[in-house]
Amino acid sequence: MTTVPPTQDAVPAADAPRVAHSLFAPDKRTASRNAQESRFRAYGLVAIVIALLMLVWLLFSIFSAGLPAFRQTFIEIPVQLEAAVLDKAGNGNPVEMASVTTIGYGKLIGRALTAELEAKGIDIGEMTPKDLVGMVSENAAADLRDMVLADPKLLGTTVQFKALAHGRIDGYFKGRVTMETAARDNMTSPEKLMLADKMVAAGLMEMRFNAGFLTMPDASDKRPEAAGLGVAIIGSLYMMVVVLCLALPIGVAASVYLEEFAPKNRWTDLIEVNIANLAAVPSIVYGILGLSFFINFAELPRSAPIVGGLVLTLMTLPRIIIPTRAALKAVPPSIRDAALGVGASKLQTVTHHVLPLAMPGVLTGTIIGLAQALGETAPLLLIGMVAFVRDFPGAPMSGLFDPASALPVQIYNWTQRGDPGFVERASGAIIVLLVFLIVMNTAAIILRRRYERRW
Amino acid sequence: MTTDRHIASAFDRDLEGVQALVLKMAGLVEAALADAATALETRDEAMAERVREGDTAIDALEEQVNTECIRLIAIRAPTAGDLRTVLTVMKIAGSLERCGDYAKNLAKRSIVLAQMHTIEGAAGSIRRMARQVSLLLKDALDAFISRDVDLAQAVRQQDRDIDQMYSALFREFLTHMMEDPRNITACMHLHFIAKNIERVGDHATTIAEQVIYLATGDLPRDPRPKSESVTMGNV
Amino acid sequence: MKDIRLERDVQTETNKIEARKVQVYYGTNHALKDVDVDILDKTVTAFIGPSGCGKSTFLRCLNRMNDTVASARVEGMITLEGENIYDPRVDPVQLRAKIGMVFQKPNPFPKSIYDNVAYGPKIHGLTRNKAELDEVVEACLRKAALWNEVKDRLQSPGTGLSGGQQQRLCIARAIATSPEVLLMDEPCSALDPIATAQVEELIDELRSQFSVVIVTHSMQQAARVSQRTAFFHLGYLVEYGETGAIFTNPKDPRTESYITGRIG
Repeated sequence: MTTVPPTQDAVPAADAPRVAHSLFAPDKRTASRNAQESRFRAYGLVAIVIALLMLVWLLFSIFSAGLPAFRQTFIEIPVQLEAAVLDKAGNGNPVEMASVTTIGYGKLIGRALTAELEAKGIDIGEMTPKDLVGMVSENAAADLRDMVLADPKLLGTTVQFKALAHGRIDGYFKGRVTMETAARDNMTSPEKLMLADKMVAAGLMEMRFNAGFLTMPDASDKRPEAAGLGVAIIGSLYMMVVVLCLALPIGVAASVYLEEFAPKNRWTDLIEVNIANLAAVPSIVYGILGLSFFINFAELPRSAPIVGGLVLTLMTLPRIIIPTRAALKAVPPSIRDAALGVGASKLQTVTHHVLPLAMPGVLTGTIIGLAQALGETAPLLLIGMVAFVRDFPGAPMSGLFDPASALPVQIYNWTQRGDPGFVERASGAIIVLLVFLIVMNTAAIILRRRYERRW
Repeated sequence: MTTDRHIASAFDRDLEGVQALVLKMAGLVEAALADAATALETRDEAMAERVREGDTAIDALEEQVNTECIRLIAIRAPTAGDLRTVLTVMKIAGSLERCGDYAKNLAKRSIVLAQMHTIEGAAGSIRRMARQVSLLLKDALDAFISRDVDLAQAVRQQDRDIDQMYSALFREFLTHMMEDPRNITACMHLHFIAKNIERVGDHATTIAEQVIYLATGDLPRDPRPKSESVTMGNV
Repeated sequence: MKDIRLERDVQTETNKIEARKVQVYYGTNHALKDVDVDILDKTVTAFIGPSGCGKSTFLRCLNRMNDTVASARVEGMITLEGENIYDPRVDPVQLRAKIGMVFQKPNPFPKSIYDNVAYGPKIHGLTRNKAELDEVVEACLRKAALWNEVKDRLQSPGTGLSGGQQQRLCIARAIATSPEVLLMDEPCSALDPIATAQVEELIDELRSQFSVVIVTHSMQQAARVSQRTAFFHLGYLVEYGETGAIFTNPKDPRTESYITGRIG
């Protein structure tokens, strides 16, 4: 019995007296926790700043390149429509007058220009009337011809004609073209540029807001100044109408069926999984589907808004079904119980109560789906909308089968062209597309805010 | 005490119901006392018999009050003033049932006394005492109806008069018994009658104290004013 | 039936709903076993019992709301005035116009107060024109003790009322189809005590026109409001009898244990 029981030293941990720790004294762990938190917040802030910088860079580069597209140089001069040149038969018949090509009209423009410049006392040096015609867009003659053929009564009169200036002249005023590059250019020359300056001083030429950018159809390679988004906007509009008319009812009906009526078994689970997958399928696959089914099998015309609309509908359906199902699920079951308890049938419960409450979510999903469809390019390329379309498609319904273009496709098309004037056009089109997208997304946000949590 | 109605009107009806029962009981007891005292004075055996039989009704009412109060407590779970009301009603019913028994006893003895010769003045005194106690009981029940604390206190004080009347009667009967031993049987009966009537007075005091508890939430602190000098040995 | 109440004497002899040997299965779980009970006409019947004992399940059998649960299976017979409600010829939608239901959480439709009450009569075609519909709405709101509070704002949304008012609106909605039986699944559990008392007083008033079956987890509420009480435990109907008797002298020891707070 020599061992001393270790009572004094080894105090069991459970009985160890608590060290009095003041709340005011900082803890080691607190300091490291706070440091961790501030580091995390710093990382977040840096990430946001980088994202914002990217955004600012993107917007700046697009707007600086694209805003000039909305202003265009015009020449306004009186043109005498000589009957001798334009109406050889002399009977005012547009069909026969159509035989006069743009060359004839071009000559008239040249004469008008010469006369006008002389009247204003501008020295044209050694430039010939043909050179002078080179000041004006090659489209101008075509525009003049269209004007006369539409209204033959103008024959013999003098009209105040507003012609687009040539792309290079326009480029000179916008800074793309300089005297040095003009010397090497075969479409313009330094003399023409100097003449342009004089004409501006005399008030014959000026830069104006170009509404035609939004209304005119596409133009050929050499005429960027005449290129407009008119056909593309109409084409996109038609396609959006098709998508809205098809995808919304089908999507909502499918969601309602899957959510309210379908039995919950393996088949419906399979369908759900597939719908979720479809939303993630690359859009170009839909293009291939459209090509093989709508164009090859159903033999619908290529490049038509109906085909584009159908392909986009297929793409948008999962994107409408998923938020619609979420909106339906979000309607509290107490509303359904209440309706059933009063003696409403399943269909009445859904149409009178559940769907109206889910409608804000449905509409938000639809608008966002439409906005995404508006910007889709890959499937439209595959169904042939990349072609050059000059004529406006007709009114619906037959107009849906006429060839048309679409905004994103038009942008792609323009970036492929050689003339540097098209860079400006493409950027301007991007601005237009962005504006549409922002408007649609804002509408979705406003809708969501207004109708949120009404119950 | 609040005079608002309960949101559940059935609760009000239940409470009013049991209180009505108790008041009905009080009426029967008062009538029984009066009739028994009259039967003693007028030597009316038939009336006395009726009082004896009438006690069954009083007992039945007490049982009914108890059943209803239990049901009220189980179903309504009364609190505060309502709970005190129910408890007071049960206690009053118990007191009244005892008073009814005393009236029955009075009637029984008056039948016996009717066979014996009269003791002078006894019946009159007893009648006066019975009437006094009857009024006291009525006051106590009135205090209960209107939850009147002052009236209840007055009842407690007035019980002293009853006690004094009992002491006087006690001395009187002793005198009669000492004068003539043939009076002893009759006087013993009369004495018990007087004692019972005095007990009724005590019950009236109990009822008054319950009313004070009902109205204020506390029983009265001061001891009961008593004046029973005879039991203390001073004859 | 012995009733201390001095007024409100109602005829309560006939059986409105009879249930015989009712079993309910949720999948393989035997939730309700061998339930036999008679619900009397013009009477408030309360179902009490601990959580999960099957009282709500049985309530939902009475208006076939269990049909909406995929895994639920009901066996046995439940008759409403002699007709088996689970007969294949019976349309549950029509049945639910005759047996109304009020739920635990007040759930008015997010429409106007008027539309809430008018919805039932409209879809069942119970009124011929707008004037009749207006009358029905007013009558139901009066019966639900809500008319004076809302008569100036019938077009305002039902969800803008207080909790107690919303529940009374749900009651008005349920009685708008002139049902014969009113089922209530814990109608006061989401309400404050004053609103609860108002709804209980309302139930007492409605008793003269409908049979009411109320499921409640508050024994005191069952005691206050009902004339008949059924005690459920672990899927069985343990005891069924007159409320006063159940709460002063229950026959089954399980009932006594539950009521005195010893189990459950």
